[in-house]
Amino acid sequence: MLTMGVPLMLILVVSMFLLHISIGAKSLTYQTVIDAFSNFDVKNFDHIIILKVRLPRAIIAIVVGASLAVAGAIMQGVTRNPLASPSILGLMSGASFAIVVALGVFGVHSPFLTPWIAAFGALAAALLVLVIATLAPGGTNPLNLTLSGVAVSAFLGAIISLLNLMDEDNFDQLRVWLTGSLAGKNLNIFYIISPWLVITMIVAIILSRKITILGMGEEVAKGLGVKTTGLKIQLLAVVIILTACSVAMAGPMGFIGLVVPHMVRLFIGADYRWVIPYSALLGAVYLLAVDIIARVIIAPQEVSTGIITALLGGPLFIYLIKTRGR
Amino acid sequence: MKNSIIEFAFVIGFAAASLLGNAHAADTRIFTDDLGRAVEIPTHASRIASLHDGMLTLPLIELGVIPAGSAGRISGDLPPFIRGSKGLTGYDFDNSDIQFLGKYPVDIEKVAALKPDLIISTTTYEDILNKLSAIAPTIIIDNVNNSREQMFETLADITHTQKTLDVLKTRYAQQIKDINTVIDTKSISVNVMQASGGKLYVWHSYFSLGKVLRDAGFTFPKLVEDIAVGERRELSAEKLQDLNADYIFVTYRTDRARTPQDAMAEFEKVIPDFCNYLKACRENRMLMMPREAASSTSFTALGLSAFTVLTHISGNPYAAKITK
Amino acid sequence: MNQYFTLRLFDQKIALQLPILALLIFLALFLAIVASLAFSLNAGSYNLSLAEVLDILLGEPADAASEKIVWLFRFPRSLAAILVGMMMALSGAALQNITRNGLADPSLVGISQGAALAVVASIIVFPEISAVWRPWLALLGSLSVAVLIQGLSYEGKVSKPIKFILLGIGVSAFISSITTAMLTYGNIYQASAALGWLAGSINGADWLDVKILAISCFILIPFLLIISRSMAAIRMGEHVAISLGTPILFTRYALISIAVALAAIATSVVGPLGFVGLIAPHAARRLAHCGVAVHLLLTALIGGLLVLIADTAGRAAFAPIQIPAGIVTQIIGVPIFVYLLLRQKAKING
Repeated sequence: MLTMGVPLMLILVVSMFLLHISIGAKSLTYQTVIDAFSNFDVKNFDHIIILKVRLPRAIIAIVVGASLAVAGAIMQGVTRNPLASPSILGLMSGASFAIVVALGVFGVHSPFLTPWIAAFGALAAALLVLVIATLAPGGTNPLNLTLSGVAVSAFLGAIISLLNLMDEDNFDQLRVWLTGSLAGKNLNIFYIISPWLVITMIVAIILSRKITILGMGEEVAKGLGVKTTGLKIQLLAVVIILTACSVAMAGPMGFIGLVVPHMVRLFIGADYRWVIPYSALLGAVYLLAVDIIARVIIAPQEVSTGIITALLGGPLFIYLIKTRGR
Repeated sequence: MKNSIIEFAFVIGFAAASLLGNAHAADTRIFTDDLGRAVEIPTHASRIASLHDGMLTLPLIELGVIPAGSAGRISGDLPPFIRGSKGLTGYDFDNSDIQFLGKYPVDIEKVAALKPDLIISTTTYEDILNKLSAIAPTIIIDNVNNSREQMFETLADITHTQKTLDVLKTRYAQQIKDINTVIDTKSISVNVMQASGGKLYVWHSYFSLGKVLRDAGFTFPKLVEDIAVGERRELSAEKLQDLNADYIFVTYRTDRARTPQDAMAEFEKVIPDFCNYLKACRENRMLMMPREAASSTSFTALGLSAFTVLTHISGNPYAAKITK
Repeated sequence: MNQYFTLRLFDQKIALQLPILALLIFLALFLAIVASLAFSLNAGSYNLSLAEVLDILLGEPADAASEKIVWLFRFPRSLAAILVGMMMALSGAALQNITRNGLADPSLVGISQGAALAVVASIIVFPEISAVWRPWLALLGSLSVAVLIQGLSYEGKVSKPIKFILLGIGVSAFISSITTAMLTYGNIYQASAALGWLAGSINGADWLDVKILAISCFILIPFLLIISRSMAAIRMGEHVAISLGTPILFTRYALISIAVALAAIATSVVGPLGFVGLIAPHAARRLAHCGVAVHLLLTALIGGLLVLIADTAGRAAFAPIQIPAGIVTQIIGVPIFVYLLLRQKAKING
């Protein structure tokens, strides 16, 4: 049954991908879409729209959606916190903060450095949140993690506000980026980080069985011979790479890592061998769909994709607490 | 206890206001501002505090009135500056007696320490109007609903510089006339565009440059004509070809040492090799202008924009061909 | 620490047992506020000597202009800062007690974001609405969000405090994203005006605001103190409270209403102020072990002191650049929050 679902989900991803590159601000026929691939003409602007505007955007939507969903799924499994996600636990603001400081204060623009800067920021914020939660009485329970995440995000947010206040011209440039956007992406960063993402995804799938065991509780996991500390460090590295790559490509995009794994678990259950691949696939479908909405809802204008993910994700989050937080 | 303090403060406030009023009674007049408030202002204000640099200070300087203090900007390590002013009027904080009053929000004590006899503000400070009025008569100019010409008229009225404004208006009218003498504007389409964050930005009229282009009678792409007056649209990259025109103007920032190449690099991010797909760019009819000259509330900016239009389009073989 | 001073009035008809240590701290905090107030009256871009300020306070001003600086600008602003700080702190204390969670705060449960959404919408979407209406819009916004969160977390008689907070976080995030959308797509001039308000600035506070804040305090704080006994029972847990005969539902809603009203009124005057409501109650508890009523008084003083210092620093430290008090309280507040998170008693996590 679950194996059957994977090809079905793949078909869904492919159809959503085709839909994504077929519709947009300029209406193009399906024949044009096919021609762009089979019979590409560099002088034909319609072909350029499909291959240079929509295609990179669709690919990045797939990669970012899948990465954030898997990162969220892992975080929820490891922390046994249904509310864990890269944005709520401070990773997203850590990565954004690092990029804002690098760009605004030090003027670093390089697409080669950006993923590393983001990763460093995410790592620093994650460690900070983790250290605070671990040291707090009660340890890394859901509330401690959530609250230290909120605190760290709030602090970084205040510093970003202060930097903006001191230099509003930079703010003007960054304010669209800070909402999470998929516009104007080329595949340069994608080419740089795709090997990392592939390796990380494979590692995530290899580790998935152990996440299920970890989800049963630390004691159980230790009893079953899982070295929990080592496993947690490996998983933290996975989560940080996935989040950092996403932020470097698309800016801070909230709620995907929170909402998608929950939807997956509603149908699949708690076996992470399935939760991870399904989260990746559903995350891709979800972000493709959200990005289609962002591009067509007020065409020929566009809304930043990150705003739509939060507007859809917020109510879903509330629904999840209402129904599952008992 | 608190009530008595409050009452005491009110009494003092009124006493102070009436004292001030009497001192200037001989030389004041009533001015009705954009909020409909009748304000008693000095007929010849000598120490004006201007609470917006680009929208108020710059026009005042062009009218020949140097304010005693002004709001400004800060950017990175640069000293505070009046946006656009150094290049357009020559005046800035570091080479004049104009005092820096802070950015938004201004430091109200700094305004008070300036001892102004008139405060001119945008609607942004409506919420602290009572405090400003306690320092000096305060006029609010509605920067949201008024056109820039209306703001210039109001400022000239306040400062009795109507003659200077008339000279500036005559100069501008002549500049538009000069364009119309040598360019058949009706048959040439133009557009002002910017690229940022992967999107294209277009305006119904891009500030000073846009006013020149509209006043001279150029035509615009349909997508631009559909934008409401005074508004801006951010459009999908897919609309690039719909924004083509005979001449396309692109502005670049000067305050942070940005270059025309930086502005073009932003277009590259929207569409790689965009130039191949935008006829005006392919045929070298994409013109660069520093943003301050194209956007500031300033007759000098209007003049620079008009001159740019005149020199780039008139006598150009392409323009000659399409106007025949 | 266990020494008490018993105050007997009217032939022992009213007798109050007051812990001496708490009283001393109360006195010290009060003096600290007076000292900071004096300092704030003396700080700013307009140069006034201590002697001049004293003369003005004694009603013998050197000139009308300097008198205005003190009476119209600095004094109402500093008083507003103190009052707002007190209200946010008490609101936080009430929320913490009602949720039995030491980490509740008006800005964590969506009250500030509701106010922000209403005001930002008025600035960007309906610019024709005058700035004069902002306080009322902010009040409306925070009340709506408070009702929304209450409605969502309502589960019959037994309440789930953690759910209340998590729902608050969810609703806050949702509402913030709408606010962000408006800031991103709004006119840049209007957006920067909205950002100024959002950052929390006491810039505009005048005597009328002080009056409104003071009257609200006079009405709401006694209420808060009156039901502080029930509150104490609730802090022991709802089942204990039921067996002690406390009308839980009434107390709960009365307290939440007071907490929301305090925060909403304060926010409506000065904009969102983060983390004051979170820190002040903890700091008070750490300073002295005492009954609920005294604890609330200490909380109020600490909140007032914190915001007064933040506002004075924000307007004077980098003058003429004005740093909104909201940013200053957040930057000072988060490290204190983290410290408290590390030091809290494990049972709070229940």
